[in-house]
Amino acid sequence: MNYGLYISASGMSAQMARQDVLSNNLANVSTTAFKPDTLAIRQREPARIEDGLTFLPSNKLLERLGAGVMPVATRVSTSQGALERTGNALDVGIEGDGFLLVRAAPGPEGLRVTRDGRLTVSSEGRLVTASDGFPVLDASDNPITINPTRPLKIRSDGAVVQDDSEIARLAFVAVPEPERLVKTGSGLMAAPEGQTLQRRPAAGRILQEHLEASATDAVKAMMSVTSASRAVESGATIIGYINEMMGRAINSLGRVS
Amino acid sequence: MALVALHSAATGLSALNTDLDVIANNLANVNTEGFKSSRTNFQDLIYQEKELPGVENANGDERPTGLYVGLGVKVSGTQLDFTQGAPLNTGRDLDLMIDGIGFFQVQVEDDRAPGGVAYTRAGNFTVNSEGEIVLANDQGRRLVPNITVPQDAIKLTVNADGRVFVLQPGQNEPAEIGQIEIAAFINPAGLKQAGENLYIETGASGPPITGQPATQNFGRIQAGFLEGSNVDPTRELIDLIRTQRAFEMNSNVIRAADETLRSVANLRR
Repeated sequence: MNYGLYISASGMSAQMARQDVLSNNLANVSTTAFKPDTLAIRQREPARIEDGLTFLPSNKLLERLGAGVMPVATRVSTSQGALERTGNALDVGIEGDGFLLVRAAPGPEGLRVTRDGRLTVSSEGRLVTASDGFPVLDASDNPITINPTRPLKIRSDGAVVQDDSEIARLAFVAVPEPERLVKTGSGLMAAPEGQTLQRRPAAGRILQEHLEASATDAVKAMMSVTSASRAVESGATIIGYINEMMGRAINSLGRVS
Repeated sequence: MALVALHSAATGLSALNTDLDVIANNLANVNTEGFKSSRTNFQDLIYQEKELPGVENANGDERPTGLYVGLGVKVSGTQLDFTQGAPLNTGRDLDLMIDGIGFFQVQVEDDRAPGGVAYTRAGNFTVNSEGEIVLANDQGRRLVPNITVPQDAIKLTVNADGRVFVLQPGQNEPAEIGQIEIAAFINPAGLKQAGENLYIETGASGPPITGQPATQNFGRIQAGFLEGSNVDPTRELIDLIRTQRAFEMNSNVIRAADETLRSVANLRR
C-alpha cells in the first residue's frame, strides 16, 4: 500500500537535488571558467533487486513499476565557455582541451587543475592565481618566477616569454575523464578521492589577454530550475491525492452506517 | 533540499551586487585622471559531498562519480587593471604622464601609509605658495623627493627622464633644479586604493623600487599630457547589462526555490 506515496516523494527529492545543483550553476554565471555540474538522476530498482535479495516476497506488478528515482552522481561539464578579450597580459584563456596546474598544498595531493587563467604576480615575483595566490606550476611542477617590470608574453603552448627568451613553460595538461574531477571550490579541481592526478599533454591552446567565461547556459539552467519547481509541485499534488484517497478509505469505506 | 538552492541564489545575488558596485565606481571614474579600473573576481564556493565516489554497491561495482552539490559563489577579490590610459594633451608644464611602468610618489600623513609616501599615476601637479611641486587637488600633496621651484622662474620644463629645469631672468641656459623619482612595484595589483587617486603599499604589493624615469624598465615622463582613465565604458556597460540580467536570474531562482518549499510545506493540509 501507499507505493505511489514513496515514488512521488522520491521524485520530489530528486527534483529538489536537481534544483540545488542548477542554482549553483546559475549563481556562478559570472565566475571565470566555471564548468556547470550535471546531476544524473536514474530510475531506482525495487528494494528486492536493489538489495540483491532473491526471496523477498513482493508484488510482481509493483516490482515492474520500479521504485521511483534517485540522484546518483554529479558530473563536471567539459563544455567550452566563451573566450572574452580582457587586454590584461596576465589573463589566459584556454581554448579546447587542457588545464593549468596549480599547487594548493605541498605534495602530490596538493596539485589542482584549473581553467581559471586570472593570474597575478606575488610580492616574491611568482606567477600565482589571482583569487587565492596559489603558485601556477611549470612543466616540471615548479613555481614560475618572472621579472614583473618587463612585458610578458604567453604563447599558445604555454611558453612564458620575456625579452624574446623563453623563461618558463606553463604546465598545460589534459586529464583522462575530466568530467570525474572533483571541484574543491575557487575554480580548482582535484583528482577523484584516493587517486593521483593523471596527466598528459593538452591538445588545446592558451590565449593570452583572454579569459574563459562561465560555461553555464543561463537560459537552459533558468528553465530547468523552474521546471524542477513545477515537478516538485506535481509530486506534491499526487501526494495530496493519495492522502485524500487514504482519508476516504479510512473514514468512508470503513464506516458502518 | 531546496534550502541549498535558496542559499546558492542568495550568494549569487550578493556577489553580483558587489560587482554592480565595482562597475558603478569604474563608470563614475571614467574621466578621472590616472584612474585604473577594477574588476570583480568571482569564485565558486565549496561543494557539499553527498555521495563519495568509489563506494561499492551490492554487486561489488564501484560508483564511478560522486554526488557533489555546490553551495554558490563569492567574490574572491577585486583586481586592478594597470594598463595604460589614453594620453590627454593639456599643454601645461606641470601636467606629467608616465608612459610605461611607475608611480609618482607623494607625501601623505605618516599614519596613512608606510613612510608617509603614497603613489599615484595622476600627474596633475602644480606649485604651492612656497614654490614646492604639489598635486593639484584639495590636499596639495607634496611630490617626494620634493622639488622647490624658484620664485622668479619664467619657464619650467620636465624632460623624459624626470629632470626639472627652470629658466630664470637674465640667464640663457635653463638650470636643473631637481630630479623626479618614480616607484615601481613587483605586484601593483596588490596596492591598496586609498582614494584621491592614491595607492598605498601593502605586503602583497611588495616594497617600492624607486628609480629615475626612462632608465632600466621605468616609464618615460611626458610633460604636457595627463594619463586618462583606463576605464573602457563599452566594456563596463556590457558588464553592467550582464550583471543585471544575472542578478534577475538569481532572484528568479529564489522564487522557484520558494515555490518548491511551499509545495513541500503544503503537503499536509
